[in-house]
Amino acid sequence: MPQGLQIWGDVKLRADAVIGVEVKGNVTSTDKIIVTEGTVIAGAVEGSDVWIQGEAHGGVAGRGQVRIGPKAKVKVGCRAKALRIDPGAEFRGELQVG
Amino acid sequence: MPPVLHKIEVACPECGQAQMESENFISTVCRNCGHYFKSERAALSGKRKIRRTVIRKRELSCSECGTAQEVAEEAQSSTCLHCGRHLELGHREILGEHLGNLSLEGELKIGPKGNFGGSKARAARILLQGRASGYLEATEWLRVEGQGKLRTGASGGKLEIAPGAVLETGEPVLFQSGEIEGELRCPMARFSGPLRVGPQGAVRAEQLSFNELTVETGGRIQAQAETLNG
Repeated sequence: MPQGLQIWGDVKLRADAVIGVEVKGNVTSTDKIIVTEGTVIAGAVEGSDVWIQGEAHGGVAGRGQVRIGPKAKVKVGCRAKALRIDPGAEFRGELQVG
Repeated sequence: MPPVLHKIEVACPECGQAQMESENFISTVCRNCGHYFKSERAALSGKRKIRRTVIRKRELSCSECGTAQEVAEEAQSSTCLHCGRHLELGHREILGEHLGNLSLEGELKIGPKGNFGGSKARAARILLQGRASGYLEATEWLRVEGQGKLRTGASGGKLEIAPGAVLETGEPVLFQSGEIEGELRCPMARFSGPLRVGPQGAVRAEQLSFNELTVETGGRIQAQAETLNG
């Protein structure tokens, strides 16, 4: 997708997805989601497994594993079955694991 | 009357010249050829061995001011050369009720039937198998293997909670790192380094902060949390 592209509204997916554009809404998928470095999601990100390398301002929820990378920023909270927050990541919010 | 010195005749091993020497002589010089020789007794006894004890030393940092000094490995106590603090270096095991405060540089073990009822215990390593109600400070590690219920909090290097064990505190828990295989319940927990929650581990805290977090499948956390650089 072209650089600087923004999506206004929620994004719903039925496949593994790599998100590299700014989304002014929530992103949900039945499968895995990767939010790449530098990408900002204004809403929540929800998938089976979620890997945040960019920013998720509305929180993250994973039915399986969630990973928050070393340059990632996550606000609001995180819900997951298993979680890894790398050193350098910024996280602030409610944590519910298990 | 002075003791009588008996003389004996000795022959020089070099030239065979005989000469008289005191019966207790150790060594002499042949008056004929100048050869230096020892008596048979001295030659048999050989060199007298000098046994020197090597004192092994280790470095110790004062718990008060941090000044390092060397102490004998087996020393049980010392005094800081800088601030004068008395340093108890040995280990201690609490098997029953203990009410006083403790400060050790070694290891403190609170046995399965032990109860530390003092207000503060400080040691390099603390193994909590029994109960404790006072503040625990473990500069290296605190390992919980029992049901620890602390009115106050705990701090130190590494916090380890074994499977099935519980650490419940009424005040903050401050450590450099954590390995939680049992359960941690506290109002506030802060880990300046990594925190790992194992498959049987659980953390319940009103506030939780860490530098790095790993929660394995099966592990549980419920907390208001933040990373320390956040």
